[in-house]
Amino acid sequence: MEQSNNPQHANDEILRLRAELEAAHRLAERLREEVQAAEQAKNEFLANISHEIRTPMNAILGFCRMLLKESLEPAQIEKLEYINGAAESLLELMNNVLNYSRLAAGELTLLQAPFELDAVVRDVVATVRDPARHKGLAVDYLVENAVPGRLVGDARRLSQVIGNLLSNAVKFTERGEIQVRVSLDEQNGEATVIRLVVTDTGVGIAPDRQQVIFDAFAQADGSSTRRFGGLGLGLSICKQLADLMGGQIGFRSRPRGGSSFWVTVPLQAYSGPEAAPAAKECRRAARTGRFGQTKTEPLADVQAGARSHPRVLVADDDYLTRTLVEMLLGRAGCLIDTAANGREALEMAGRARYDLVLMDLQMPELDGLTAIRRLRSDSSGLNQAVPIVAFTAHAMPDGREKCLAAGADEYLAKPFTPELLLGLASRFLPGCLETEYKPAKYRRTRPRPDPTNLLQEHFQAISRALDDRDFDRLDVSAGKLKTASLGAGAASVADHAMRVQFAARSSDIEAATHAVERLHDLLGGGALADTKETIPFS
Amino acid sequence: MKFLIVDDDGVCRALLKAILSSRGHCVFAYDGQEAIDAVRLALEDDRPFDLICLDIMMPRVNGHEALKGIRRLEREHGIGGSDGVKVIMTTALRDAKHCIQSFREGCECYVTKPIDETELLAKMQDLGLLVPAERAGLDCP
Repeated sequence: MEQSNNPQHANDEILRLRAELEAAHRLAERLREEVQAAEQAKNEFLANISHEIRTPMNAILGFCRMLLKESLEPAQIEKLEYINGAAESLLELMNNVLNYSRLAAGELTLLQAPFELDAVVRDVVATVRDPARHKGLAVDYLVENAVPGRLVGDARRLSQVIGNLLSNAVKFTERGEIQVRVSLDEQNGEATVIRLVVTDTGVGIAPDRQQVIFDAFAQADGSSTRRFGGLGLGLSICKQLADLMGGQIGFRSRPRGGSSFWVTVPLQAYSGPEAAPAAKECRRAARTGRFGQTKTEPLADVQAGARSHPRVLVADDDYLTRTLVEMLLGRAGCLIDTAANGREALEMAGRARYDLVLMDLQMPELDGLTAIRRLRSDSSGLNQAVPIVAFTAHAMPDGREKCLAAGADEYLAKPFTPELLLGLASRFLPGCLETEYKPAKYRRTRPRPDPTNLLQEHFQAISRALDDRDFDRLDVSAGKLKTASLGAGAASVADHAMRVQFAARSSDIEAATHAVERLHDLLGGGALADTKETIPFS
Repeated sequence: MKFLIVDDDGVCRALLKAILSSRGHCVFAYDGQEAIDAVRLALEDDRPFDLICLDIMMPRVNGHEALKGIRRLEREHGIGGSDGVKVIMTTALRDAKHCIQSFREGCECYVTKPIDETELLAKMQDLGLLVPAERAGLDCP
């Protein structure tokens, strides 16, 4: 190309380019304003439509509840309850949309009023008790003693965050347990940072979803296989509310290995007149039982002189093991920190002093033996002399010696029973644990049940439900037998379990009885070996 | 008459039950996999269904996969053409794509939620699933 050396020509070119640049800049500015206006219009539209929908919803719910109080036929009440339930879930959906749009439009302001955190958590937990019970999930909550009883902040927004995290936990968990734990993260005068953790044993979050989990509508995946329902607004709202309150939110999760969501919220400790005595009464750990029985029990009473809550570090790459240890020792009054590998464990041990360290041997990044050696050799560390218990899934013949040589104090082979773990922990934390052991509560986490016994157990539950003519329970119990027998490779047992389920759902007592009898023939009297299928023993 | 109602939503199942239970025996499946299992067991017991009301958006196995699975089972049992179970899709999906796909997969009818009792009964009448007395009632309301 021919190059122009004419200065006048070059100057014209510069002026032309500048004019072009300015025009492009103006265009960009105008587009930005248009996008902003569109965004604003969208949010206003969402807020408006939510309000417009809430108005007729009010009439539906109001009259529905009014009708429910009149004397009606059971069949009419059932229909009204369907309407009521559907209207309530629609209202909840609309509330979420409204909240989301108000948050996005920056219209939400925070209230500063005194409240009792314990009562807030208890009330939120109560709202998920029914859906949790339907799925056979236990919901536990614990507000640690260190948390101030009365705080100042926006209790409604806080309970909204906990509520969204909890209802997600229930939605995404099929088996196991959901735990809410409230602890004190930081206290500086009246400024108090509260940490809320909601842990479930549910499906977890796939790695490719983890980046977008707090984005709005992240759950909509465009496929027609409905996964869990809902718009996917809950977590986005939690994130925005946490931001608004000046806190942080995050999670730890593994696909199929459960999730643990945490939120930190800065609040003010209440410094006004002393709270009513009833508040003290509330300041106890309470838990809701498996079938909705609410038990209130005080936290571990500790011996004088002993530290109130022993701090325990659990390092294991297996989420379930960590959760199990966390639940068992957490209930015994310990404060638990968890690490997924040796490197994380060392990092945590560098930050806080622990009373006991539980260390798995096989872990990625940095194995347990190396981590133990480094802990012991770090003479300036906080935890050089901490008692260490090593555990591993592989019972090695010289495992104990190896562990002791590396610096561990004791060795525990997996699978371990709750008694073993608690016994060992109380040896190293004398007088610090609430060691009263309640076997029934931990039955679900007992390692490696014998499959035949399991099938028998489910069958017993089916028989009892049939005797009681309780079709809902019959359906659930037969569903469990179906899953268990499919897992054990007993297809014909599974088929009959399904026949029981279908009969139960139609309240067809005759068909249900027949199918249960067939199941009895297949499973009864230990006659399994005589059928064509043999159940593999593990 | 033997009906299979397939929906993951309890209220939808209850609504269909309210419409259908006076007209036959209702069986309930909560997702597509259960629907396939229910059809398989019914075929094995030699007591097949007359009608399936099949939702599309469901957990585990969706309605499209369920419909294909059900027709495959029928072929395996030597049932084809108009001898198979009548399937009415009952779904909240109103777009043409899902509708056309469902007909290709072998459904007889496609109705969208909210389910209208009159519409559903009219479709059942078209499929010959109502007894004559009821048919008369529907014709002259």
